[in-house]
Amino acid sequence: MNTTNKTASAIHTILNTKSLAVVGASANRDKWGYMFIENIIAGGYEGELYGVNPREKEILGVKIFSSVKDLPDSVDTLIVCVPVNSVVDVINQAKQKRVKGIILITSGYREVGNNAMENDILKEIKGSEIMIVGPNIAGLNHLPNKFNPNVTKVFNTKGPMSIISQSGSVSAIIAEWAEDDGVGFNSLINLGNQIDLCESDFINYFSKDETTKSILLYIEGPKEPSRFLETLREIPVIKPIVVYKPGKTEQGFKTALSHTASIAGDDKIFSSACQQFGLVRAFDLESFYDYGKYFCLADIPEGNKVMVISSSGGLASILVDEIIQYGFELPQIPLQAVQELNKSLALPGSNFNNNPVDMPSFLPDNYYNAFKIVNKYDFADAYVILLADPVPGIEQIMPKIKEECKKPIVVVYIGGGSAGKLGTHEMIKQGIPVYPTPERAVRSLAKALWYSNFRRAFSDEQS
Amino acid sequence: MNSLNPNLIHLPEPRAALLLSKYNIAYPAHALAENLEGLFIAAEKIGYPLVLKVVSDQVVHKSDLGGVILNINDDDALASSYQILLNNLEKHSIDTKNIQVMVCRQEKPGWEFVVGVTRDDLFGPTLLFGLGGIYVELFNDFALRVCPLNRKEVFTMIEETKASKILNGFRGEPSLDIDSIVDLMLNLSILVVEDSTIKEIDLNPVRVYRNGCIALDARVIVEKQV
Repeated sequence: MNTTNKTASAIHTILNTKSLAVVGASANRDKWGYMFIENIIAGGYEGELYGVNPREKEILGVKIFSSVKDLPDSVDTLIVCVPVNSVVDVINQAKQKRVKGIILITSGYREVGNNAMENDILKEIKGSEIMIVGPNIAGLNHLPNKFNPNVTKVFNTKGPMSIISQSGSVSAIIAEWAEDDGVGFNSLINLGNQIDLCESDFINYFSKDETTKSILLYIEGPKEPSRFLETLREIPVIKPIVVYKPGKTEQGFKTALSHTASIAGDDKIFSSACQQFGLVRAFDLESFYDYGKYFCLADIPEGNKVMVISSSGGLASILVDEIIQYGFELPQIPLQAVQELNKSLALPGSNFNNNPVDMPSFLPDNYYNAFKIVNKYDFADAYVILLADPVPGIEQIMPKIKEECKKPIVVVYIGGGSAGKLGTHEMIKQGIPVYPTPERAVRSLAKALWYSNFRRAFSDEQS
Repeated sequence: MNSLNPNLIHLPEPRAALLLSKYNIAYPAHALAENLEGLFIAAEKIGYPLVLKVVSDQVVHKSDLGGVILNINDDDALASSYQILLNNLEKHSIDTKNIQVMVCRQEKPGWEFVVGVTRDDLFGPTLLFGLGGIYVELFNDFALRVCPLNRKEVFTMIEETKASKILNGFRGEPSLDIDSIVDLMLNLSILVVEDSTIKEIDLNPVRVYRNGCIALDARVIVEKQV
């Protein structure tokens, strides 16, 4: 087995484990050794679960063994949260048990200047099958396996994005938004100090994972720049990677002796590299999530023509500003389509002559009918449906619209009250990216167009 | 020489020029001298007009200290320029005993660009192209790419800048030899990928003509392997 396959197989084993032990299990509710067991159970994990602690027999109904050596042979993955001085001994025992993966929670390594103890771990696993996530992490989540060994929270909503993060807080925030929104996520990986498995391993893994449609990467600095670069030359064109990296203000000192280094600041290089490799760059947490949501739900537009169907003239003006500002066009509605819209909808106070179609209606069927007519003439690359009032039941006709539409659809639902909240949630579950403001929707669509252009330029270059 | 990172070394210009020549990057004909006699021998070999530049690890920003003298057209001017150069340095309390100077052929005038590299922590060697001299900062007109690069990528990189209009022949001016600067950039990209000790390089300016281009100055920063 080559290294890549070995790595992918180790990651697969860890995430999909059916037999797991928490080493450092605790009966004290304030200890992480307790919280892991609690969250794994609360998440509905269906595999075998054990604990290791020499002083306990049972915690939360989970059988506790006095050492790793005593665990059943079926155990292939360990969550290790013992004190830093005991880690090497645990790994040594794990090696004898033929354990495949270790989620190493324990901190007190590189982050406090203790590099030597990381090297001790690497020496211990050398030549063995064991691969390690961490150390110094809050855990991870893999929802297809209902696997929540993460102290921050239990998540239940499975969805098409995977999050890879160097910060446990950032990943938790994104995961929480994804869950609240109804998008959900597939996996959440906290990288920690990356002594063994690193960002490139996980990017490669999720690039081949069919349940992952977009990868969200929060990165401060890669473990191995050269491998990261190799990964970037291959993956972004296959699967969208949304990246957020702090440091856009470039504080912190630089030792630039040359002109080149002083004008080509880190952030400018990062920006250029994103352009070069097709990384979708987010500049803040909100767009980090928004872009990830777009790419995991909707297709990318093939051109810049946007057709807008709106329930509000006022909000449509705001939307149009954004659309133009981001370089989109609003194509004219063909005359025949205008006539058809007037005839079939016959709504007083509406204006079907221009794009956006302005349609003050609370009835979902009117949106469906309007969509059907414009869709028939097929003159746009993407649709934005702007609901600036409650349109109860819109979520019931949306699957039909989605089914008939061959172009990406983005919905803005704002001012919809409780009908809006329900509709938003339901439409997202149907796979429509719904945003709460015109700005967020258009910004996301614009990134999708940018990515689409990148992909086209890339394939032109290959041919 | 650098209080922030003592492992960074500024290569003396003749060594920088030698490194560039190994990668087929053109540099003006030059020779080193330590006294007037040496200067005359060098001048005879290279031919006028000449440029004098101080070579010393005490002097990084040589122009700021009067360590560069241009437009030297004959032996008399060479002798007086040498004296002026030494005086300039002494004014800045630089010990001129045994100080070396580089005698360079003065190249024809032309449009000037900057080509550089810096080694980024995240992406490794990164190439820069922009308008030469101080203008790159003034107009913020430059493009960056992570190395290694192919010919097409270097072309699109140049096309991204406003400076590319000059290369393509701005306002009726003849177009310049873009291929030659693309070659230079590709060669520099190979150099930094092959030599991992290189931390930063400035070729500023690089003069581009209708036929060919040449780097007129090179600042090369290498990281001492510890």
